[in-house]
Amino acid sequence: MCGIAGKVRLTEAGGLDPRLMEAMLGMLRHRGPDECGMYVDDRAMLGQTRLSIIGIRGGVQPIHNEDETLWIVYNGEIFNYIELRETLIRAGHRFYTNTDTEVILHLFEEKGPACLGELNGQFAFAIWDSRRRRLFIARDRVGIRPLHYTVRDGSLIFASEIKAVFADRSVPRELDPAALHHVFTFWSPLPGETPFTGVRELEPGHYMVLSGGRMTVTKYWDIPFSDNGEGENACAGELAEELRSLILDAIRIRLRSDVPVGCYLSGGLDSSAIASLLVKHFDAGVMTFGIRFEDKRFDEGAYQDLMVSELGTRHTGLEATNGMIGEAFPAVLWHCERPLLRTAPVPLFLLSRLVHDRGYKVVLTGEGADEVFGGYNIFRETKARHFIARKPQSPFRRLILRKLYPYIFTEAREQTMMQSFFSRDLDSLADPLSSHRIRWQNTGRSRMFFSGGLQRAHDAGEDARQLQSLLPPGFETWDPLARAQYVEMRIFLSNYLLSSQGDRVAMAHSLELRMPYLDYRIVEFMGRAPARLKIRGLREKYLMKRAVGGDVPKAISSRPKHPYRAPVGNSLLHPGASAMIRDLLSADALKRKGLFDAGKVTKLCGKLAARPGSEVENMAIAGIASTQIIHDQFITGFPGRETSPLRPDLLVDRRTSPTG
Amino acid sequence: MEAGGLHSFERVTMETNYSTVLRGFIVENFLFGDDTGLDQNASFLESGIVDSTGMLEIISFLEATFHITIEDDELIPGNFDCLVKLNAFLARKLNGNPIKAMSRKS
Repeated sequence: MCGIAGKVRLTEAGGLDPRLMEAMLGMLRHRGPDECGMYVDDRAMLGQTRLSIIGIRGGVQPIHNEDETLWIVYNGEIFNYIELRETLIRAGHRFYTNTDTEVILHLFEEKGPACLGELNGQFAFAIWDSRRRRLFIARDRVGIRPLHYTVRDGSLIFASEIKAVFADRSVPRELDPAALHHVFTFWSPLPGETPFTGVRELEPGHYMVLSGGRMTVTKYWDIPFSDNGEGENACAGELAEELRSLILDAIRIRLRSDVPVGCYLSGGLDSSAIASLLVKHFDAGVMTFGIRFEDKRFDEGAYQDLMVSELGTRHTGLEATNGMIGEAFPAVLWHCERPLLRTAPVPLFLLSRLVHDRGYKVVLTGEGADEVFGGYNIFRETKARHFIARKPQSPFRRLILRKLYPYIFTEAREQTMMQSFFSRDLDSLADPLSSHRIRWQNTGRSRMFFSGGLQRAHDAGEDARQLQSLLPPGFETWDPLARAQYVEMRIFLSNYLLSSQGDRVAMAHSLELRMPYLDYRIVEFMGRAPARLKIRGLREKYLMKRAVGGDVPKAISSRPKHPYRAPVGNSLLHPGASAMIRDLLSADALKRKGLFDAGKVTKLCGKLAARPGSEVENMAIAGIASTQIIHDQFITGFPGRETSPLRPDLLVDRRTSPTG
Repeated sequence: MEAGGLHSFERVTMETNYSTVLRGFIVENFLFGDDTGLDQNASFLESGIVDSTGMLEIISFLEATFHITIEDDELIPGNFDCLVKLNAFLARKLNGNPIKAMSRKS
């Protein structure tokens, strides 16, 4: 896994300075501490920092084709590179490394953009065709690896992380009010956006071509749901069998590595199933890692212990205390590069440090299972609300809500109240986005803390149009579950889960995550599977449990879903928390930055210091603190962390008149 | 003094007092001081002003401030879901003895 960066002139030649690339690579050192390299000619400059995992020797990038006309910088892994390489060799391609990087390059030579259809992996890469003066940039299907860009002074500037784009000091840095409104509503910026004005992300499943001064962005893959016509009569047993072999193969090819591969183990079904299949079929001696919490409401340690004794893995646990979470919050934000409404990324950041210290560069994780197999409560809630809406007056139907949220309805006295809460807006179920409306409305309450200026800087009416533009043709005809899954994956999966709880917090400590459940063959398979087999009654991930549930103890497969979360108010306002949080939440700092209403935020802090507060209040305090910190680290005080330029181990200089 | 002994004028003043207290609590606690747009009839749940933990806060506040015990079967949206309903509920609840309730608060 690695970091990549580049600057490419749109039309005119010249003016590319390798010292700029050294500064950009310095910002990406954590992504690839092993080696780094650079290519520069009159029109393009590419750089890469490398974390060596496959083809350790001789894999320094940029890598070129036979006649050195094509140059690639690449961040990621292609898990089927062995098979692709054999085919390419038979077609006459000559390789000078053992890397998957070179496989992509020759496949691109062979097929152009259509090469993407054959890659099974997680990647972002850029290929410069120096003869045709054409740049090709692509990102993996679901968006596991990041890629950001901006256009400035006749150049395209791109990088794995925004901080490397900002290393070019000619790029203006300011927060985008629309993106802030989106984070405080949808939990993340909307696809394509970043928190910074003018800086975009290349969306998952898209590629960009830059040629003749023109930039075109094309979608090559989308999350493949349909109206479920084809799978409706499928037999559950056969589908489960097929799914099981897909999961096994997804794990098998994700073990391809020249360094040892570990495994995350949370104690939940998803990671437990992977660890179990790993031990039984591939690597009995695997090392596992898990998070524990000081605050027992969040802790799954007992289930981790159960799995460890069941599998006999060598396990290391990290206990995340409230103070540690508050202490590391600013460092995490430097890596995540966006405001966060949660602190859940922090323990994962602490865990990756521990894994790195144990000498591991690669781990498998269970990420993506809830999205792909139908595990989230919001999906069950969607199903329940449609069930109630068919006969809204039936008190019997409303009892289903008690089954859905046993932990909310434990407060017996509140039941009537909560039932009316969850069955509100039943008449709006025709709205194609109904699954997520309540969540967005609730989260949007946190915008009450915005300053008047920030409130007015964005027209919320614009959001409806933007959301509509995200929906694929035929979306309205899909079943409610598929619609909810699509919205969840399109808006939240890549932009938050795979980023702030995935790539960024792992790469912060040079750790590569591999996610078998997000193998595109599994995503496509589940896109075809009938809704009734994804969630049966209200039993979530039914098909997945039939496929691999038998591989874990019943105590794991039948335990109620425990969403991975971390304490917010108790961490950020903890005495051991970073002083930066306290300083930036002071009335002075709030007024100075002008983004939030200092009076209201002060009251909120007071309330949360005295009692736990509601979910929205906790999201709000995380969002406010993180926005203030992001503003400090990326706008007023950039760079918010110590960085230094990185001298390349390999420099390919093809400029006709070097001026640097 | 028994509640029955109050003149109607005094009773109205008393109700105004606790409706001010209630409004103050909602504004301070859920709107962080900003009462623009807080409609007496706006549903707490529909508008999102109050969520499930917020309902618990309201209930605890009422029980502690007015020294009442709220029965399980009283916990319905019809009693709690907006300021008007909350006032009416409290008026019924305190009808027996508003003076005692308010005076014990201080």
